[in-house]
Amino acid sequence: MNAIEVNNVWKKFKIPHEKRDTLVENVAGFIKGEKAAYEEFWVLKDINFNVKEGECLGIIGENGSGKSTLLRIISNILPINKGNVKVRGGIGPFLELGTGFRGDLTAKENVYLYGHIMGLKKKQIDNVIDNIFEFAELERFKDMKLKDFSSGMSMRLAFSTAIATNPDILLIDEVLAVGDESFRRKCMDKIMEFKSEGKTIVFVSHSLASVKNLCDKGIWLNDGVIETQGSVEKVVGFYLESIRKKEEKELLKEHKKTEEEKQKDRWGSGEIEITDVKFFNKEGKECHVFETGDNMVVRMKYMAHKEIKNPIFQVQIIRNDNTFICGMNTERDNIKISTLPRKGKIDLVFDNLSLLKGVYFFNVGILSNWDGPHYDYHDKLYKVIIKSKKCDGAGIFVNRHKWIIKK
Amino acid sequence: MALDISKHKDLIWELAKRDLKIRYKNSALGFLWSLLNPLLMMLVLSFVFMYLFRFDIEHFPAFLVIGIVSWRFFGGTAGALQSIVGNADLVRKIYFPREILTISSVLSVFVSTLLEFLVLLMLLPILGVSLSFLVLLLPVLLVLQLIFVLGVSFILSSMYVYYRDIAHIWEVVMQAGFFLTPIFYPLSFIPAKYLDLYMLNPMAWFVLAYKDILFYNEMFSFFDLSVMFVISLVFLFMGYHIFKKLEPNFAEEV
Repeated sequence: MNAIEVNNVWKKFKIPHEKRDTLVENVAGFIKGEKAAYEEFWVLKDINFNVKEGECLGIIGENGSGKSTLLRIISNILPINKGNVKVRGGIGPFLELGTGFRGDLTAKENVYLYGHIMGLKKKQIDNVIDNIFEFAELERFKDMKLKDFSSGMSMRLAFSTAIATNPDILLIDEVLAVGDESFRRKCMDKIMEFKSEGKTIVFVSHSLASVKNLCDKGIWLNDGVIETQGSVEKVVGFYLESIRKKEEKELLKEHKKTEEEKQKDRWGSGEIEITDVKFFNKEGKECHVFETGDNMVVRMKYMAHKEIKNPIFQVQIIRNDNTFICGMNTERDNIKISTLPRKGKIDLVFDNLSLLKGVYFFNVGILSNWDGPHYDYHDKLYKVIIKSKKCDGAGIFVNRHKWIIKK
Repeated sequence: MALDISKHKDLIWELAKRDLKIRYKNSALGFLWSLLNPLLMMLVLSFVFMYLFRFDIEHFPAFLVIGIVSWRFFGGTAGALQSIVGNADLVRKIYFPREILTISSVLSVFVSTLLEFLVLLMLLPILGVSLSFLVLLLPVLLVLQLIFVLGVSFILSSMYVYYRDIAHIWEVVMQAGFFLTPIFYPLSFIPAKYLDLYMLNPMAWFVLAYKDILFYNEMFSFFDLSVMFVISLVFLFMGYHIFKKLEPNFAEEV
């Protein structure tokens, strides 16, 4: 049995060029025969999905992809242009907690008001009001005016009131992003409890970990279109892959800065020039997003304008907060380059990258001798993103290690 | 609509209570303060018209205050006008029938009005007007005016979402209306040739009827009652229709 059915839903927003929001302007425009100009913009395009009773659906996607609009449509706040939505059961709107709270009323009065808005009768609230304050850990503040509450406190009150409405269907929109850690965990536990009670949940979040943790099914919304739907692992996987591709594209653009732009972060005598720096993965494909443990090749092309004796090639890695991570050069590694061909390539190869999650810059340079003047130096011109899995470790880099348990 | 009201009566009442609490600043004293406005109006206007314009109407303050209190009830439309836009955060984020907001706003005005009429009934004998059994007809008028006010409020609150100058326009209409309604002068002041035009103002019918039963101790005619009945129902029907037509886009426009 489907709790929520969304069939061929289309939704458009009108963005007026010049908002006419007065009667006078509208009448004047009508008399002059001008039509109000506006742009149409489809926020949701042909959305189709079902959520079965007791199922938990996670909706992911970038900001502005239509996730919240979709939730607002399911909860009947926004009308749609085409298609239909069927909902079986009472919806608990968690769209934005604390909506309808009034500063000049006391916490208790607000709970009644909020409860009524959520569709509870007075008697029903009488029965649960103590539980609400207990769950929110705010028993002492029952009669305090809400304007004297901190934002965290009113969030707690709002969440507690919202769960007290005990709806059949929960629509949760990124509400757990606020509040302190311990309360957040408490909320998550409560949502899990609802799930185990067989309630239907639609969960919108940017926290992919919570989505994976909570949901059975997933939908990835991209620009108002369902990009993928299915098992949550599959959907999150596709989504992550697309983020990687997008980052890759942006980094590539950055790396393709014009020579002019590069000039200001570049110095040296120019007797040898680094003409090109590229990063490759183990398949030999150019790449700027790596994972901890991947292979990475940094390939520098150079051109020597005159004969140079004993040049030193150097690469430095700096994290984007300016932490100097490591520096490598050919002299340190005891590689003697007595004479250099006029034109060539040199590779720096990392097997099994030990850098952890972060954004890193690479400096590359050619020196005449250790700490000596540069022939050419590129300062932070190359950006690389490293991703890590939880098991890779914490901090800046991982030392390859093992544990030995002895008696 | 009746179904919505009965289903959501707790919410309507709670919202109205919130309005009242905020209006009266949570105290009985707050209510007394709210009486200051009509009483002061009564004193000032009595002074102006009795001593400057030399109106020769017996018990003029009583005559005046009946008109003022019933006009204030109609003045509640200015507050109800804000009922959707003023609750934008609710409208944008939670679904519930939107007319609840307007209904509860009118309800809170109605409660204030009842209290004011209660005070008025105590005040009238002091001002020299004795009440007759016709007072028993007061609820009929109050209910009819309530329906009328609700109808007007539906039109205003829903249109205000789209046209923000309605608040200003309505302010002017209210001001003009105060002078074009027989509040501080009797109907006999209106030249006969303008009388039909003058009586197009729906509020004139209500104010006259209140004065009939409270001031002149006369029964209003059956014709008057029928006119008020028709006015109320027409406005309610029209208002509700316009409201329902505009309602679906409230969340986007508000």
